[in-house]
Amino acid sequence: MDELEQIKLTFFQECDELLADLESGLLAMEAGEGDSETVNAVFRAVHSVKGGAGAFALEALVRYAHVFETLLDDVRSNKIAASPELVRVLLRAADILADQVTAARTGGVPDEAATAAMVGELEGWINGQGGAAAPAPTQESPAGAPSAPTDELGIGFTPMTISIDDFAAEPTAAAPAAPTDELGIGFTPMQLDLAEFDAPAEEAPAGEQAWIITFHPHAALYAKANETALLLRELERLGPIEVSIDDSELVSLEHLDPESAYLSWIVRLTTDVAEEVIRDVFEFVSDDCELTIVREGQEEVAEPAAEAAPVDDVAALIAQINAEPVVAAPAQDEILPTVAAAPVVAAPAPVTPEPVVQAATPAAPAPAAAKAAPPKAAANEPAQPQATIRVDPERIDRLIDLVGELVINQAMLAQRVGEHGFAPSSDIAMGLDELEQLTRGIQDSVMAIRAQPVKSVFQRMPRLVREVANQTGKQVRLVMEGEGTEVDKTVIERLSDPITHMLRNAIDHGLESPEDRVAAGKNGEGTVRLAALHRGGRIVIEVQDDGRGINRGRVRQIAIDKGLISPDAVLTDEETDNLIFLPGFSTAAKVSDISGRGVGMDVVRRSVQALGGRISISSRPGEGSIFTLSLPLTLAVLDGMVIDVAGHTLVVPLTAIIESLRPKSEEIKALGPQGSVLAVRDTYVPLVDVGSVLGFRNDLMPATDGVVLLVENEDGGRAGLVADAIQGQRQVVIKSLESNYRQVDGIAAATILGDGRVALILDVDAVVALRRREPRAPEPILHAAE
Amino acid sequence: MSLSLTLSPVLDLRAAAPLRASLLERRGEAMDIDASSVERLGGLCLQVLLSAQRAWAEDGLPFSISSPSDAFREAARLFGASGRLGETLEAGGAF
Repeated sequence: MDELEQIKLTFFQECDELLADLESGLLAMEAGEGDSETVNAVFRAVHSVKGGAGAFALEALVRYAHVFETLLDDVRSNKIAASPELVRVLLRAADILADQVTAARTGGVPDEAATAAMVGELEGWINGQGGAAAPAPTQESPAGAPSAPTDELGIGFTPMTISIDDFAAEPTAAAPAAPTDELGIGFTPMQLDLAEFDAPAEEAPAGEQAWIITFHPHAALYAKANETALLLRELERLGPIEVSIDDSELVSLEHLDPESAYLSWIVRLTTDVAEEVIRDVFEFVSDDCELTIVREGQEEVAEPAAEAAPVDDVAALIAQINAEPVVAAPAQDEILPTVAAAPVVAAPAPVTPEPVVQAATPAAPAPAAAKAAPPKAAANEPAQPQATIRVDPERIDRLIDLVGELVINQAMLAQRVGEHGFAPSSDIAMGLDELEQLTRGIQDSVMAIRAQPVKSVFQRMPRLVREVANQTGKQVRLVMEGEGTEVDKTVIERLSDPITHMLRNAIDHGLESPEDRVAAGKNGEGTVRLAALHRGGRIVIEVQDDGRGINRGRVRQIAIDKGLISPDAVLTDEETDNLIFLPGFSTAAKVSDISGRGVGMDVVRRSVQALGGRISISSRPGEGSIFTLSLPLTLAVLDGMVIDVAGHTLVVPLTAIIESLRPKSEEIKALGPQGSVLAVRDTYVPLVDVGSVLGFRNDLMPATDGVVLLVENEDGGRAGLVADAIQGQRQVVIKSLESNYRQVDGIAAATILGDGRVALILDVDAVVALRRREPRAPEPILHAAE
Repeated sequence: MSLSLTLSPVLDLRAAAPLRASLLERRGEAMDIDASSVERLGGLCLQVLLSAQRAWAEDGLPFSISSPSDAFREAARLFGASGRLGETLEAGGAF
């Protein structure tokens, strides 16, 4: 069913966010920055994953998440201290949860051995606490709810026999003596023994509360393949529920629309979880139902508060006992808003046939909690999640396309106005200036829609670092900075691979083993810093390690052995370091399981350059290395140099250009029948006549007649592009040539200029490669011997 | 003898309209519903059943649900409808 698949897709998207929250929460705890709200957030993340998984019957995921959640619940209620050791276990448990989610998403099979081992470990922690061993909940039964109540005093909560119809509109229905309802059919209230839902022998968590949840689904809820029964089952996972049905809106069978929703439900849930957790159950259906969640007895706060203590000593005692843990209990954080907002719902109290039981149980803690809560609630109001909308990326792409057209159109208009000789101070020219500013504003805003913080990429890295550290036996501390740095989504998606590779490289090759580090007088734990920042309209990613640095002698030797440089080449330290990016540099001897994987740094460099980016490394022996990756903020617009070539207008990406120069004839030396090289300082670079390479003209243009753009290609090699003239620098909107026409050798894309003409954007690497086809490719860097 | 209607295993969104139609067809006769093969009972089919139960009661005719499957019982319990359907569940044997 498409609809269901769509909802499932949304669930998995949310899982990604939840897993990210989970990890960042755990990392905060690891760093000792976590407070009780952090622990709550961590718990909620796992709980929400479980809840969603339950709705889609992802049994394996639910089972695993349940054990995980149970342990987190114990941490949350301070039954187990969040020791560094435990947090590390939780981090690994989070990794496995992520694996489970991935497996559920792809339909693959998670690593069952790893999962089973982790479940064992988690259960060990759960059971390891004092005498309060909780047997692993049986998974087949919903009774395994972690919060199943049995009071530690043995008094407060007595499993009671409650008629299902306690809350029904018909008060008499509960009385066995009056088994006739308005329909005239015999009606015997079902006796529901709550005891059968109780998990065996678990301690009652502090702050247990009864909640009254009224739930009226709309037709849309069912239409979207959601189901009330599943929601009720989810509620039951949180604690024992008593459900009553409200059929007051139910119409006659003749008039009944089978796809409309007439029934609503009133659920009394006894649980220790926060209101938010209850709300999470309805997360996916919140738009398609009416929902109120209030603490039981809320509408009568004044009354029981005054009476509870004198009326029932036991209740007062419980209230007192509960009051203290209650202050710290997460569930209480939201009392204040709830009190304020408490809508009037069906009040269970007047209807209940057993007032004594009623008074002795859930009503009592409520006023106590309400009294205790305000200072806490005021001081620590949980941050409301920001409202967000999900938008199909295609719509944004279309908007960006349109804005691109607008930019072009505006430029064309400006050019026309200029051609007609309007003075810059004329109304038209001024209005056009304003239009330009507005256009630019719109463009920036639209780009900002697609911009995302690099966090989504960064958050995958701690796990990678943990794994690589484990594999290499090194101790690594990952420091991440600038996770909020925003960059276009198209760039984000392609950041992951280079960063992954750079991190692997930093740990595997950069950091020394703990012993070597200690021997070198360093901390045994190496530090790898991953940072993102904006610099000069580009995003810069730095991966820095405090390891041994690049062994330049060895790098140089390898480069000589591989024929990448001549043995007598004179290289600066920086040039030597950058040799590792040359194709074919990665050596079999050096390839390890971690950073090897058949991908050398040259591949990383190429993928970065394909994005219009650059990568470089700088290193200090004994102190470490920094990889610096710089990328454009977006792939939709490009800073280019507009050039004329044989009557055509072309755009050269600015990132590829090192400098432009007007060559003198003595600097040009012929090489072979057709080729020529240009002396640039102490280096010769091959000259590439763009016009002849692209077939615009047959004869080579003397380079002295035009200009030469010195460009760097993907190998790090340089070349001089010969053009007729340079028009200037301009930001252009990239239009795909492949999707609008077809792929053309030497051309990366196209753009539309202010005068409406199409200009081709040069693929510098391809143009240089085209020129090289006939003659043998020169060395990437040719150093003049003299 | 009452008419018997066997409920299909999956009583979800799509089953609600056919279920209502089958019930309407049998209006005016005593009804015995066989719930033995039900694997899933959703909210929409539940309301059809409850509405039908009410309709039969208005007609003064018996309406029962016999041999409910475990899944049916469990769903009825979750829905808080065991009481309502429960009467007919129990009464089922009598007809």
